[in-house]
Amino acid sequence: MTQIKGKEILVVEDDDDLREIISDAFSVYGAHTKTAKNGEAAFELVRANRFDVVISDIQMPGGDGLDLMKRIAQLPPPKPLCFLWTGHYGKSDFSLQALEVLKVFEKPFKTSEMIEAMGKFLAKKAD
Amino acid sequence: MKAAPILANESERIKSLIELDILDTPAEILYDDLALLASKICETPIALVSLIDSDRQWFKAKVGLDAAETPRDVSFCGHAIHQSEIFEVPDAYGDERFRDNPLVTGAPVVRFYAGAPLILPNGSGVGTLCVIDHKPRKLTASQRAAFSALARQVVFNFSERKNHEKLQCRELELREALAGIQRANLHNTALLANMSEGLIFQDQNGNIISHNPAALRILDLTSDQLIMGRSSLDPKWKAIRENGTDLPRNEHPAMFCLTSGEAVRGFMMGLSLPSGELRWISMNATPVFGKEGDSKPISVITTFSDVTAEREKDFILRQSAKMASLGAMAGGIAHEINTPLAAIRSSADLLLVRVKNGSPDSEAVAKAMNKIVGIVDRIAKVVQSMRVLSRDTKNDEFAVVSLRQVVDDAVSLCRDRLSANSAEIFVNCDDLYFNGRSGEICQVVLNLIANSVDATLTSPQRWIRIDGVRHGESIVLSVTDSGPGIPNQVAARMMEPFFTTKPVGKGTGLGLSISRTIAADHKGTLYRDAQSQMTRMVLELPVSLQNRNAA
Repeated sequence: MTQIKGKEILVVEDDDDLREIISDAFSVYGAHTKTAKNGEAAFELVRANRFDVVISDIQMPGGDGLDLMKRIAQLPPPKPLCFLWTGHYGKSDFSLQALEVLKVFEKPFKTSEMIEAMGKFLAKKAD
Repeated sequence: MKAAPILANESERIKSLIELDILDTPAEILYDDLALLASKICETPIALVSLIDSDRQWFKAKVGLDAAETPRDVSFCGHAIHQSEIFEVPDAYGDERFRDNPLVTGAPVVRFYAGAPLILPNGSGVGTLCVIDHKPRKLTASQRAAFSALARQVVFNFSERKNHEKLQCRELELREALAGIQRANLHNTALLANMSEGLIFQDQNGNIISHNPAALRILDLTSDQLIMGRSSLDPKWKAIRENGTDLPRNEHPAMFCLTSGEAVRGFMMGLSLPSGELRWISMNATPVFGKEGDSKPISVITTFSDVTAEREKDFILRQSAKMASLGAMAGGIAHEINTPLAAIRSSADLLLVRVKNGSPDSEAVAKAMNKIVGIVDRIAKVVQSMRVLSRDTKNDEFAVVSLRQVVDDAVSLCRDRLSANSAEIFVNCDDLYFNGRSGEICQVVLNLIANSVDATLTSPQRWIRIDGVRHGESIVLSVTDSGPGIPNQVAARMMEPFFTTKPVGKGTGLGLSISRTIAADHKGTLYRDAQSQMTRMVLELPVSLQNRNAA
């Protein structure tokens, strides 16, 4: 749990409720969060800021999550760790590796489990 | 010899003769009798009814002579026809005009001749009644009088003969007309007996005058029951409206037609039969007026057919199309619910962590709980919209429906599909109401949005705009999108059932045709606005009275 403390996290989600709640959750665990409503806005933030983690919804009007991941993958290092979530089952027929996405969480996910999984990747990266 | 003269009125005379239609006709006893009477009265061996053609004299009747005709130029009658009285030659031998005439010098040896001209009412002398003897003589005054009378009888019979012919023609015509009517009647009877539609003919008071066999079959009544009316009916037999309530007699299309003088088309009437069967019939009633311009019909013809099977088929088709559009939305609906579920779960997780840490800040808890309640309401709304769409509305009565509510329901059902395709939606709907079934109109709006989503896929700008405004007595609901537009050949056919531009398995092709049927059921229309630069589909519905009063 402590791995995300102090980390810079970008939450990309078009649903206002979910975006706010997840952002709050990360804050409770001591992370610093920024939020974006779509891929386009998110990419602007990624270029202007240094993030440890970007987590994004896949389907959003005005620039979707997959597109965002593709563009992040093309950036020079250091790059943030990337995660996705989606509400569509059976739609993850894209290559996570090519997108450099570590994991896709399916809604409705457990926040604690998601944060735990993220923490593991952060710990691995720190090693 | 002096040849019979030809006068100026010859062509008219010949015309009159031809019109008698008598030349070269067989002998008739009537004229033979008149010739015989002439010969008896004048006591001559020969009597003739002679008609003067252009170059001959032809005998319609003859006594004592075999020849059928002789040349005109040697004829005595040729002279006689120009007289107004009897032309008498007492002794041809002593008459310069005839003494060397071959008819005098040879057979039949005419010594005595008397000819009474046959003068038609128009003045034309067409021939003579004449008598001939081989010896000289002179007619007495009484012979002349009787002879003249006989000549008039001949003329009288000419015109009678003509009239008789006319009458015969007329009789023939009438016989043919009668046969035609009988044939037509036979055809009509066969047609009425064999047509699958029921037909009832009622007088101005609504009494049934006649009906065809199909009428009895469709109404499940006997002829007596139908003609005697309600009193003889099984009480379980009743006519109902589409919404299941009793249909009073004065609302029956035939009665309405008699009262209003207006035709009724496609009236849907339910029949609740004693067997418990429910039968639907579609009726047309046509007024019959005594004469053009009358306002009150003298009778009414009602035709009707059993549409129960079609209705059932139509219902199944509609239901399956609805389910298909619902199915297409299902994936989206899952997401629509999963996202708020994720929010609830995260919120609850967070609360749990705070509670475990022993520092539940009551304000934070309240905020989180409020959030959860709000999100649950959101989910409930999606479920509610689904229920509106999927429920069987076949027998629902029309209710006053909020246009805004229906549009919101449709939009909330496809919000995910919109976001999945990165299409933005703008809704600008006035507070309007209509009479109808909310689920059906929701289905129409959903269909229009779904079509727009598909249409905008290839566009760089993807947006859909829904406008709901009032225009006079109508609600005008339009769905406009940023798609590339509908090609004319597609526009011409897009309302047809099963017409689709989508790949196999991607669309039923029923969306627009069923939407149009639904619009018609609501006394509205669904059409493409050909004037609009963008693709713009318009649903027009009559505005509800409630809204009219509010306005």
